[in-house]
Amino acid sequence: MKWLKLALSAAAIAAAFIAIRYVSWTPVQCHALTMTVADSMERMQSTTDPIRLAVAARENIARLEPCRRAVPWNINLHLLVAENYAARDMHENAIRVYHDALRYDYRPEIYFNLGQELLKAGRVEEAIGPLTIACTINAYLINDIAPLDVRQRVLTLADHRAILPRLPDEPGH
Amino acid sequence: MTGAGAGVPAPRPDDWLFRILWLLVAVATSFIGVVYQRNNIDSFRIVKLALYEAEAIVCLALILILLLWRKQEVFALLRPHRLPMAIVAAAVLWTGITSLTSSNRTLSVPAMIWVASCAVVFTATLLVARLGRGSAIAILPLIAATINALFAIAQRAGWSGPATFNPLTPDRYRISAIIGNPNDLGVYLFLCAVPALALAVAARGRRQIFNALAALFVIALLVTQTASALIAFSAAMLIMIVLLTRRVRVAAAVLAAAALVVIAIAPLRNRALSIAGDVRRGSLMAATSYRLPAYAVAWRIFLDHPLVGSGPGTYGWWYLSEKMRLDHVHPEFELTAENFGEAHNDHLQTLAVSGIPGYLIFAGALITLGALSFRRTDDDLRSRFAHAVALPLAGGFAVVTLAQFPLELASTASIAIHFAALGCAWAGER
Repeated sequence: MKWLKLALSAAAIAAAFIAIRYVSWTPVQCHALTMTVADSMERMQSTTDPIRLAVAARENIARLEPCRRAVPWNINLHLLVAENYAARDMHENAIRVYHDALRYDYRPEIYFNLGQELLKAGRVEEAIGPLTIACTINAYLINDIAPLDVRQRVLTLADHRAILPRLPDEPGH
Repeated sequence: MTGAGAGVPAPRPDDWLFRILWLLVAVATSFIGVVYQRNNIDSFRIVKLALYEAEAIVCLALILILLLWRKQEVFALLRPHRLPMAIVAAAVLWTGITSLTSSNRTLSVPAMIWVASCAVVFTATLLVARLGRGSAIAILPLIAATINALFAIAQRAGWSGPATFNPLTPDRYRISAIIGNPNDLGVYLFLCAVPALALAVAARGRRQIFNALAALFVIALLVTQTASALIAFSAAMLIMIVLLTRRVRVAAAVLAAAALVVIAIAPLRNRALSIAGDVRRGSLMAATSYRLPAYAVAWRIFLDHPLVGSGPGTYGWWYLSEKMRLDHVHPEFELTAENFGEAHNDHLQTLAVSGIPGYLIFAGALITLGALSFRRTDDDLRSRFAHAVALPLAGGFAVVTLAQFPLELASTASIAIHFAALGCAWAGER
């Protein structure tokens, strides 16, 4: 009986270490990684060599993806992964990641970046909705929409608050 | 057995398993107040949360080991605390149920872990609170608070400390110590000042030390200019004075003295005048630091989900879509584009995310804690401390949660849970 109790005690301690790794250690490390990658992306901005840029973006994605799966509620991870896909001109992947981010947060920048990526992917009609939501929340973003016809349409819709984000429990969300 | 809680069992002082748990609870709870991570987007909150949850996991492992080796003692120690333990179990159970019915189960997972962690640390503190005879377990977290208070005062004097600030950051927001921002710091200091004053009342021999500590925390609290924490502290002090002296006049005199302090200190006076001016102009938005939309959204989520709420941890996810709908009805809400992750009112947020049953559990916890002050007091430090701290802490907490969210932050929740558990353990049975 004593040996069984000892074994169970050892199992409890081992389980605690494993749990700490998932519950405490990984979220802190992933959060720190967002800072490291953000620094790396700031350096990328000054790079003109497209190959170096692509390599750096690929490395960033490889580092961030495990964290994005482990701590999906950390929105910064989604945003950084999507921005790195965008830097590699992988717009469909960036769109997919922004859609993932919208499952956990409705920040205007997610809608805005999603709209911009949809524009780059040539899906103009789909881009109007997210861009309008972003500009309804933050009117200053309107100036960052490059195509003038899209800007005008978004401005009119945002003025009338014509498109609002769906409520989380609305059918089809 | 004489003294506090006669008849209530205590762990054997030579039992090393209980000693390890005692050490873990006392040291980790203290350390949370001073831990931070350099070079991070959020240097303070996330690492404190991670540390508290790690503490809870180790506590849980130790409680399981204690159940294997000292089952009788563990049950004997928890038996006198059936009501607090029932509330803790109800909180965990209801969080589990609402996580299952949540509008976003992924977001409810970390919230569920957080609530379970608080429950485990509360239970662990109850188990070891009666170990030995002294009050070290109550004093240790106040050492971390002392460091924070000194940091805050130094930051008021112009030193930046561990945080880096944008040159445009207003002076008030530079006072964050190792907690993160002046609002969180104000609540943290309020939660430490009340137990420090209760210790000053209880510890007849070392009263000066605790009075000095309490004075330091109050000065630091004034430095933060956090209105909600100052009001909560005033409420707690009034309750403590009436509780201990049974004289309302003394309480009124202290209230008048507090008003004089506010008038005398220029930044506080300006802040009070600014809030009063906003109220006179009918601008509740400005008077509440533009938090009205956060309150209104929480109320609306509650009205839509009165029974089980929207699910733990989902308030921030719901905020923006609900707020944009409320903008139609309340155009003044468009004055703020802030995307609130918390309602800045734990009463409303608890209603919103966990429905009426969740709020009843929260209110029940506060009432149960407050009621400890009405138990018969024995003539020893621990019993006197429990009598002096329980009702003021519960009352002050009920007030501060009207404008802040201490339940969601490790720095503040850890202190509240620690002293609530000590109050339960030391109040005895009568």
